[in-house]
Amino acid sequence: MAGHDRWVGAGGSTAATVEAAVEEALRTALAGRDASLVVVFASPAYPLDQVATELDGRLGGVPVLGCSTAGEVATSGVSDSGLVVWALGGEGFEVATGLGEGSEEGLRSAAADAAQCAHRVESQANELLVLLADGLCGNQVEVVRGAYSVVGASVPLVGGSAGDDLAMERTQVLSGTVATSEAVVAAAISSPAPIGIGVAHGWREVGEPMLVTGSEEVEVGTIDDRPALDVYLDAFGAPEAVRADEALFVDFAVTRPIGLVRRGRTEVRYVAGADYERRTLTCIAEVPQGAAIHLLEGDEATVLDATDAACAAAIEGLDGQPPIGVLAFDCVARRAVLAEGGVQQELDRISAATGGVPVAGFYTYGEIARTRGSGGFHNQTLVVVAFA
Amino acid sequence: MSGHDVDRHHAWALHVLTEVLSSLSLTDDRSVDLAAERVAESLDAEVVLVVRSDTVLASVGLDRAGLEVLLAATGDRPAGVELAVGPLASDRLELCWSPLEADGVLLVGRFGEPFDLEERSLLRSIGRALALSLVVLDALASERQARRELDDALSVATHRATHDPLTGLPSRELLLERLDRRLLAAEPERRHQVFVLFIDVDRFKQVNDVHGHAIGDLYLSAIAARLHEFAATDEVCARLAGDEFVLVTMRPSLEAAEQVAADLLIRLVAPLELDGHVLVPSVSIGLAQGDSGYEAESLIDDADLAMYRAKQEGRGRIVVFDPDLRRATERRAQVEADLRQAVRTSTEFVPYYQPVVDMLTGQVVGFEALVRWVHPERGIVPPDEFIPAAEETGLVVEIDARMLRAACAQIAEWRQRPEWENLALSVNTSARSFADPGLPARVAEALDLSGLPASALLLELTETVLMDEARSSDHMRQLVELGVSLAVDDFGTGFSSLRYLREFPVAVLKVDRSFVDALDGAGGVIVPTVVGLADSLGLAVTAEGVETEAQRDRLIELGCVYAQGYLFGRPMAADAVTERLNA
Repeated sequence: MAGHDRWVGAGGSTAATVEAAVEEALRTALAGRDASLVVVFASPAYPLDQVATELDGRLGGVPVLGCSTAGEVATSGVSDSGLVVWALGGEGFEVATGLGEGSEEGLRSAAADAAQCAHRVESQANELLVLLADGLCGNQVEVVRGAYSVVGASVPLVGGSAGDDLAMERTQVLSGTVATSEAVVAAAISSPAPIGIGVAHGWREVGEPMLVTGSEEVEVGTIDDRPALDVYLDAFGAPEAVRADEALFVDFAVTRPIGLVRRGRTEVRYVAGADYERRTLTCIAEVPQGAAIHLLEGDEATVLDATDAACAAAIEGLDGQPPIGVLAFDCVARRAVLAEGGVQQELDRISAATGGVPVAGFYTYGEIARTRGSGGFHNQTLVVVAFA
Repeated sequence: MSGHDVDRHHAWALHVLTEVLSSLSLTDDRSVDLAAERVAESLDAEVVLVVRSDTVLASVGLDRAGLEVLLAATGDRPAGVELAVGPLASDRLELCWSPLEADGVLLVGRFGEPFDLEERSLLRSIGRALALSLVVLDALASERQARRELDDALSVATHRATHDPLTGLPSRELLLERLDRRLLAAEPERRHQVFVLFIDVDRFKQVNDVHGHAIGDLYLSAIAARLHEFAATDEVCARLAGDEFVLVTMRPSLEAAEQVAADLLIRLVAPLELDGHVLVPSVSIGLAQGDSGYEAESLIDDADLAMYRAKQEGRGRIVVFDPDLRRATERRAQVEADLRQAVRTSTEFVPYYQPVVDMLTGQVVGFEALVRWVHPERGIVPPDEFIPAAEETGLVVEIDARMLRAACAQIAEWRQRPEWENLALSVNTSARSFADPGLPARVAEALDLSGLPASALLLELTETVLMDEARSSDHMRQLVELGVSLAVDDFGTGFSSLRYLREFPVAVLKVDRSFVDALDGAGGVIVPTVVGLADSLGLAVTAEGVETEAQRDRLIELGCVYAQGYLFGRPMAADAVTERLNA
């Protein structure tokens, strides 16, 4: 594929104003080129509606997608309270974007509406649907189900649930000039060159497997017929302070997910909160009643090993062609495990594994990667998408 | 999967079965869809199809073309098909079939990786569980449908029982229930008061009489429809009976409720075109406010009373309930009850006699008989307190008849005296009595029994009664034949039409006391006019309410001969008259 002029660019900024940040990130990402798609990941410090207006003012009719984050990923070094722009362009890439609005009940129909854009993009040998969802709305598994119901097995799905720096109050997504909650945005991308997808998490089991004896979608009531919260706190030997203070729970749980036992693998579920009165756990995606689970934990070494694995799998998916850019959806929980400097280490590893091409992404409340089967919602996982 | 993934093999298939069974709900309509999605996700399968009796109950990952390929394959149930669904799915779609009852199938498809024994066994178990669930879901659906039909039938029956069949508005029973609920809810922290508007269609009987009952029904239905359109969703409107409707509204003040009544009145009186007839409705509205402790019935009664007053005041208007209306009604009800009792006992009504004198000679020329009610507890009840009630109930006819008989007998007796041999008798005749077809017979009987000559009897009527009743009354002719004369009471206060003075056997004009009282003013003009008129027609004039000598002298001066009043004698019982005569 030598001689092609497809390109991927990434840029970041931590400038004080939306205007300056957008200007700086765009300048690096576009480097004077015309983009087919611009994706923006912005810290809650930058009001997303202002970001949308600013981008629209500078880009005119270019399709723009984005969301709020719990941290940003960019090889430029931005990781916190910043704004990252990822863009692609050049001959060969075809793009269509969509927006679907849901309700507080959930995002299934929103995802289905957003995914309709896959029918509008010119079909090529390789296709991809990128989904960004309000991370605090309903059962996030429904985002994958909604999109899958529209595109079926024909198109792989990748993406993530928007974050808000673990404030757990409001997350937003962006499409064009609209920034909103209770919604899903999507970009369908087709390319003549391969697109590789790698998925890995890096957690290990703690103790014996247990049975979910009572749950309703994302809320786990009982495990082995005992209150789920008590089972969880006991199993991890939670300190007294955490047992006494609901506010400390989010930080405690971020590095202690639940793993659903699946066919030959474990599906990770992020524990987003707890109800200290009802003694229940609330996860970001459903934990079915009847499921066998493991409690999981990890450390810096396993998280970074998983980074290598995900990158390797993504590169492998390019069938030997060199990558031109990478998009990454990394769970905020993995970041919490990394010690100071660990985030930079992870970026360095991604950069090294992908040959120093532009990389951008964000720390999410949930990750999407469906390459086979019909499921594809993950937690505490890294999804790496490599473009050739 | 990375080397760090948890790859120990637990009995995953068993847990998946538990998960799928947990997803089968008897209350969630999406139960089968959810189960299909769980099956697909847990087996890393791209495609799931649940079909029964050629109906697709659920499908995952299939577009229309894919669906058609797989539906076509259900006969042969192959182990795999070539299904081009895009760049990812270049492999053959491996299939696993699990029967669902006799004519159904659970089909799971996965690209490139056949199902192993554990998975096939798992899917068989899921298929069996799904089949049993579907049977139960079907039974539940039928039961729900049956219950819905029963509920619908019950609700139709309830609607019929609680709504008026002609207009479709709630009936009295439902109105009372809803009004009671509002009255209860209004306490104690209410910001809005409960108001009842009692609406009565004016002269509905005439519409029925003139246009027929079919138009009458259309007329009521049209008014009901306007009322229903007018009512806000939180207001209640109902048809009480016949041409009576009610609107219940919640308003912050009486003024606001009056405004509602005014708006409604305007809405209801717009012209209606019914089957080619243009009718202009008129309604009378009574408005009453619900107070603490009020019951629905009493509040409606209040509004009804106010409506009744609106009718009395001339119809087509709004009257707000006032407690005096209730007191007046209660008093009238008591009077009515007493009246009925008094009529039964037959001793409580007695005639009093007021002399009529010839002012030129000072001689008594006759008496006017005036009814007095001697109540066993209340003593003598003034006529203005019971005559309206007697008129309304029709008891006045019986009372008049008794007075007539008693007075005729008394005057006949007094006429035995040589000085009173030409004594005349005036008897008041109410509108109801005059309209009663039995009047000529009763007069004839009283004359017969007493022996009083008809020429000595004057029936006193007001001008209004003459105008309204006499011309169309057949028995006027009979009275004329008997030889009875008429006296026009309160002459000058009514129509004062000359025509009836010629048409009917009028012998006397009685000048109303108000003109006598005002002899120095308006009476000074009217009395000589009446006297002049009477002279020219050959009629006598009697002045009423003469109380002073000055009045008497002035009347004589004006040419008036006859008079009655306190100056000549108050109304007295017959005994008192006889006593005075003998003194």
